[in-house]
Amino acid sequence: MHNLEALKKHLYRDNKVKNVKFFPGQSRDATPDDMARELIKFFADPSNGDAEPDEEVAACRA
Amino acid sequence: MAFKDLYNAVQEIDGRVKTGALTVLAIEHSDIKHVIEMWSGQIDPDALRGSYIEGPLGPPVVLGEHEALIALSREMCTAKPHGRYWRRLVYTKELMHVFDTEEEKSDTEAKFDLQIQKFADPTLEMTPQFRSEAKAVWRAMMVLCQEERRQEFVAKIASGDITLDYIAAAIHFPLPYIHYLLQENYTEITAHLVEG
Repeated sequence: MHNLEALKKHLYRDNKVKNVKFFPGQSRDATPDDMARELIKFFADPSNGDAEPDEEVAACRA
Repeated sequence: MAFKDLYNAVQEIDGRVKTGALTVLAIEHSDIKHVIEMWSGQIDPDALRGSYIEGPLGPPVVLGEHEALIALSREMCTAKPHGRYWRRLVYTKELMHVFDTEEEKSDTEAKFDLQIQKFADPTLEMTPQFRSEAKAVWRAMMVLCQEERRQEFVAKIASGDITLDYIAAAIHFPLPYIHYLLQENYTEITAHLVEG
């Protein structure tokens, strides 16, 4: 459960987020800790702070 | 802050509803003033397809009050042949959380714990936070397929003129979710969700 604890620390103790929701993955075996792990990995990715818009994302919204 | 306003606005859109337009309308009709969409190569779609996070949040992704992040699995979004369909559903489902009521928001660790644990344990108590997860999926369907168009699909499926694959391709929607649009009690369920 260490991923879940780390995610809660980041979201609620280090920050004060107002709402968090999830769309689970395709594996029925994935646990809440597995879901938390993916967000921990996301937050650890230094490229997430990039100011440049993602062209692929923009194209998909049009 | 009313989903009903977004729902009514969508009924006036001709053709396929685009997520860019949905985002503009959702911001117009909710308390959230900015939505950032990010695709992450770090998120494994086997475990998690996407997530909605409402600020304030510090680096690396900085969110202020009334700002939201929708983080999606890049692998899911770019998968062939239907990654774009999945992205439309998952992004829109997460976008619908801009309409969560104060009671439905997971704004404490305790509420968050019950919400995320219920994904794996159906015996846990139903909470407003978990219920809003299901509501958001239905609301995503309601705004990605206008009601008039949905009724046309229902009629044509009944007469054998089209297939589920045809509908999926017409509205860019994942095939496993098409049957919800055709459910007999669809209008009954969605009538509740329009209002609250």
